[in-house]
Order: sequence, then structure tokens, then C-alpha cells
Amino acid sequence: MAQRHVLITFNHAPYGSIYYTEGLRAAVGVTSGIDEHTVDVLYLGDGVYFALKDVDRRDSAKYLGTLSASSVNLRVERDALLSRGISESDLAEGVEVIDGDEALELVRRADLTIDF
Amino acid sequence: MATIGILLTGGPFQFENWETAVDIGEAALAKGHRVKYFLYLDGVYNPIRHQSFPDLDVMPKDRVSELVDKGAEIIACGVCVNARGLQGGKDYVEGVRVGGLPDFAEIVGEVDRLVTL
Repeated sequence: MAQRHVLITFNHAPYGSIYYTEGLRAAVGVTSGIDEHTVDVLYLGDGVYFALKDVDRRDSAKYLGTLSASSVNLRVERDALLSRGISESDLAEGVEVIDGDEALELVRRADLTIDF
Repeated sequence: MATIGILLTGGPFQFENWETAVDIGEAALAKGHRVKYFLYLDGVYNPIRHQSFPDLDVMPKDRVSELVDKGAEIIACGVCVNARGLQGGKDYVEGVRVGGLPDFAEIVGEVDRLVTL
């Protein structure tokens, strides 16, 4: 057993499936064990729709709160926003926009990745 | 010998994720590796012992039983199990344990590779 750094990626939109919130529950769960794993959360593809400011986050609020308390930022990839016509002013407060190179760096830095 | 973790979110009879997960696990076990599954979301439907479907000779639950016999560790998410009315997994094939996300966190700490399906 060892402490791991885990990258959780979200490719599913926050509608049509439960991945957007159950993935966050898993992200919190990963940090809950005795190994005290750490996580990064990255939204890619249609997953970036979760970062829009007007998205209903009531069912995810407690997981987002737990991650925020652990200083886990929500990151979205810039190209995924651009290709969907989403501007940074459309995003919720606290969401960090990163370039593709930075996203790849998150992958490199992670011991394991999990995709939802 | 490596330890392979598999996070399975796909249920049976609709998508093939479960079958890919089983095939990967069997191949790894055959080469002497350890395999640990965490069944999440609809993945918890795969070990139900009452499965039947006329077009399939082998049910997902039979493949799960074979994995157990070959030494795989299989844990199902308890919240997901209860959300789907599976009553603590009492209808599961033998050898599948109901646990929780702390068990998944433990798997994360043990594996050399993790596959999400």
C-alpha cells in the first residue's frame, strides 16, 4: 500500500448519465482511505459543460465542498471550451482553465488516472 | 508479478465493458498477476446469481464466478448496491464482497496499473 496521486478525468456531460456526480463521489472516496491519496480533477470533452456557471450542482455540492476544502481545484481544458463555443466568462467561479500541455502534465504527474 | 486494478462501471446485457473487464482479468490471472475489481454504478449488476438470457450461453455472473475461483478479488460498492435494491448483495454469486469506496482507495494504493471500464 502506498500513497498515490490520482487524476480523475470527466468526459461525460452533466446530463444523460450519472457519471458527473458519481465520479466526484469516487474522487472524494479515493482520498478517504488510510493511504491519504491525493487527486486532481480535470474536465475534458463534453465534461466541460459541468463547469458552466448555471449548471445545477445541488447533487454534487457536498463532494465539491469536500474537494475544495482539500484545495482540489476543478480544471477544464481550454481547447474543449473553444471547440464548444464556451468562453471563460461562462464558467463558474473557481474553475481553472488550462492548456492542453498543462493537461498532459497532470497526466504525467499522476500515478493513476480514472475516467468518468 | 503485478497487481492489476479494474474499476468497472458498466452493467451486463447492454454494453460490453463487463466482458472486456473479465477478459483482461482472466488474461492477467493466467500470467500469474493479481487482479482486484471494484464494481461501481451499474457494474454492481454483473454478479447477480439469478441472471438468465436466452441468447447467451454464459452469463456475466458465471464469468464472475470463474474469476473468483481463479483468485480475483471482487468488491462491489455498497451505496451502488443498495441504490439498486440489491439488499446488500445477498443475491450475488459466492465470493463477491460488498464494500465501499474506502476499499477502492485501498485498491488504488495497491495496484501497479488501474483500468477503468
